[in-house]
Amino acid sequence: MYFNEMPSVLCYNIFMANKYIKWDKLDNTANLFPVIAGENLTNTYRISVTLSEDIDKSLLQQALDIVTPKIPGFNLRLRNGIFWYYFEENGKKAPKVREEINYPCRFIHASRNNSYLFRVTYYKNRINLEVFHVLTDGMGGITFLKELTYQYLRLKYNDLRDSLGDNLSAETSLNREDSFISNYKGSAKDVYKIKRAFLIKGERIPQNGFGVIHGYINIPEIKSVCKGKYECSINEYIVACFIYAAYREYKGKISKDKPIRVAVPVNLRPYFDSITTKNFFVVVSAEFYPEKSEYTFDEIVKLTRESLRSQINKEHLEDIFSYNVSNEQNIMARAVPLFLKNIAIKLVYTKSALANTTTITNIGNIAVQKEYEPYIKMFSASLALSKGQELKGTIASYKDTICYTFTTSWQDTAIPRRVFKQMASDGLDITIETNGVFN
Amino acid sequence: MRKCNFCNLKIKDMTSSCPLCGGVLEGTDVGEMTYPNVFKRTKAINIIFRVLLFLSIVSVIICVQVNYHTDFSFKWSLIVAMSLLFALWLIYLFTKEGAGYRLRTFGGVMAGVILVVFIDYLCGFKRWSINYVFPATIITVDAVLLLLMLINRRNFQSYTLLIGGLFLISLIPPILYLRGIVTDYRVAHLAAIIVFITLLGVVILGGSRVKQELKRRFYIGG
Repeated sequence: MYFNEMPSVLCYNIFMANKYIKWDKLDNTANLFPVIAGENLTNTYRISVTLSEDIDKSLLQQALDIVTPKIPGFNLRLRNGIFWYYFEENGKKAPKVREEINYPCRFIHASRNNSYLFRVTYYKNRINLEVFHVLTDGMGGITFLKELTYQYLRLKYNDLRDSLGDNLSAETSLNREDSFISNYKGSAKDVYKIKRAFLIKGERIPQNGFGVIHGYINIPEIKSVCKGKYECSINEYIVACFIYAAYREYKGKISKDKPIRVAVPVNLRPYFDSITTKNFFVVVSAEFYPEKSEYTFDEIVKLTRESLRSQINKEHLEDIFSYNVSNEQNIMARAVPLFLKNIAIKLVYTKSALANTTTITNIGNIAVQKEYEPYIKMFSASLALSKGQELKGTIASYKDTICYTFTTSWQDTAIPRRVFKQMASDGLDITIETNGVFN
Repeated sequence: MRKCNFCNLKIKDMTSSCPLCGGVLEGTDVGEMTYPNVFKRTKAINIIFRVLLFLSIVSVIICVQVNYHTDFSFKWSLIVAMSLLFALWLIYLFTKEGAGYRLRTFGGVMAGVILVVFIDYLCGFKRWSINYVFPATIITVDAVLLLLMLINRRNFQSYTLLIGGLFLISLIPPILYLRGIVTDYRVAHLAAIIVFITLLGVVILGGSRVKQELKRRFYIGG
């Protein structure tokens, strides 16, 4: 034995664990989340899958135990360094699956969750995956939930396991590239609007309640309305419905100084050919303020479409994240201790959060492998609320149905009501489901 | 499925009125709820905490009154007040949702040290708190950290910075000795030496794992 081998051998004998623990940096967006997250601003999102049968808790736990170590983007714990937060491979037993007894999107206390940054709950025939946004955006969440569901179904139905094997599916990406860094084009100008937007206020649901309203819409129907009647995309139509609802409800309070601004997160993967499971999105804002006394819905659709189309192009999206990345890469900023960075990040966040009336995000159409389709009824998603934005919208779709979910802390349902009423008046057949706090 | 004729929407919930507008629904279908009925479950511990807070304040008021009207040269009522405050702090720390073991250990220990120094001060400042209790506490925390490292062997290296921090704290009693505030150097020096040996042991025996840990913790980016 050589002398220089001694320390590691001694270490192995004493601690009996010399395995290399992998680590990783947070992506550019993720740096924000640990700083601002807390009980009231949880930065947690939920993606749910509704199956055709009630959930078996022990099988779901088994499935989670199997899947968690296989997906590196979820097998993580968050640690704080002197200058930055960072991820480290977790390796502990997967978090406990529990029956849903609380409101969605509650804060995830890593210290009580085996240091994991996600949780899995179930209720009747629904599996809920709740993810702290620091880990990944909706795309990463969908990947994990799909694999968890597949594994659960394979445990439940042996014939599925026999015919499909018991590994992760070939469509799953485990890529953990920081696509912000690999695609940023150097320093860029500040493109953020930080002027305050019109903010919805009202009476809160008692006892810190959290309202959920799902609206189920048929995709061919909404497509024909969007294309045939308004010549816009589904996203543009949904954002326009929100703006129109807010305009009609709060007409006198909206002005050039307090415009309605809807933040729309844009998935950057298709624009930059990325398959990363880290966060890779930026936020653009559709803006509206009245310049005349009366607006029709058609006019608002047109304005929304123009506003969004002028921003959702590769160059502009690149400008947005390049500005963020260039700040992160700045040598002076890098050398600032974490606690000082946190103060600065909090200040910037507060300003930018109040610059939007709401956020409406579309996590897209979720496709599953054909063999699992008979067991899966629907997907839905919901977002946690944030400072100034206590009503948010999330869109998820599966097969021929869109699930448009509002999450809110307001007792008044005027905006969702006007949104769905507008859709119904356009001839859409809509079914509403809530979590019961409004009744 | 029932229908709201005001909103022109179908309602899936088990309810007789529209959750969006409050209008009475048409149809006889019962519907179903797909979410649990969440009641704010006021934790019993919160009620206990409030009762204890109230009783503590009342006790302090009574003690101060009795102390003031008997012999106020020895302010024992302040010791009662500080001890109750310490007890409440511990209850808060151990019932706070999400509080990790680090916050609990260091928060509890530091508050305990402040309490004994305060008691020593009120009892004529014979310096037993800073001569013996403070350094002995440092030795105890060091032992607890070693124990935690053995229990959590997979991540033993993650305690390195904590032991480093404890070493800096362990330098306080010897510095206070040099300044003439601590009068007995024996336990003060012993605590600093023990923590230093622990730190040295972790760094040397921890080998590459500790090196990696420090590299990660001090990573500056780029």
